[in-house]
Amino acid sequence: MATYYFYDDVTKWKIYPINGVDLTFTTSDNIHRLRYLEENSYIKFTPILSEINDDNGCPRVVATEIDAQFILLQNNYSDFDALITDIINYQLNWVIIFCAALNSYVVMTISININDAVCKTSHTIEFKGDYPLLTISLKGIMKNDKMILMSNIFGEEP
Amino acid sequence: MIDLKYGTYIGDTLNWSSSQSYNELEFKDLTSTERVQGSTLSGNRFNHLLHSRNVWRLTISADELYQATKETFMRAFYKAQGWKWSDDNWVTEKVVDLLESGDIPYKFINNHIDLKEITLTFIEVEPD
Repeated sequence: MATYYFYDDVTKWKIYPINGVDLTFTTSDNIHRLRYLEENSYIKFTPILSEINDDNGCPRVVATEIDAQFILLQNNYSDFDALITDIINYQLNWVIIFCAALNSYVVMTISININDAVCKTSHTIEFKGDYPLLTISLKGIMKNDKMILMSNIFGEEP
Repeated sequence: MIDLKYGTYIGDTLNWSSSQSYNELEFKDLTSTERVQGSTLSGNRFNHLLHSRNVWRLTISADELYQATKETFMRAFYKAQGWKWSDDNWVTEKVVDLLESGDIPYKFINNHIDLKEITLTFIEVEPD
């Protein structure tokens, strides 16, 4: 998956490359800090528009579709086995995503409470050489006030 | 921003609910007429205006109805027995009739159950 962004203007980013994720699962005490994700990790936001136009004749952004992928090599996370156990046994309820463009000081933190979103997660494990490579996919719809923050990122009026 | 209240009868008294605010998607002021139209035996056309009245079309979308309190209020509003709205924080208000009946007219954006959008039509009780 290619990433598209301008050097230092996050409003032009269509897909945000990720360089770190915090994952919290329900009823688990673990907060998994994944700081060395593989380079195809990304989060993408797509605005969802109202069916009817507003009084100005334009549709309104009423929610935001999220599509994210976190790829982690076993070597890059010491609690890899605990993470797999949590993925299998518990539900993801907090995701904090750290984005930073390459060669840029722009850093953005995106926090998703799964209670505020409708999300479906899935995961796959492949092998890169001798080491497992975990891919977590997150697809869903953000429906709370944070979508207004997100629509600001798109450079649109909320 | 539009404020809504609904009324329900307890005995003979119409009791109004507390107010709920919505950031509406659209709120259009329209005009509705009712006419008797036809032609006489000799072929002359006639067109009698019986009355005209104001009609308002209100649409509230998923950016408001995702909130449980606002969605619950909307359901109670839909099945109430009286309706009124205000766009100046109840300095003035308009008591209206609700035109829709039957299933609550939710549209589901992207076919998603959490992304509800509703259009309601308010019609003035007294004609012009």
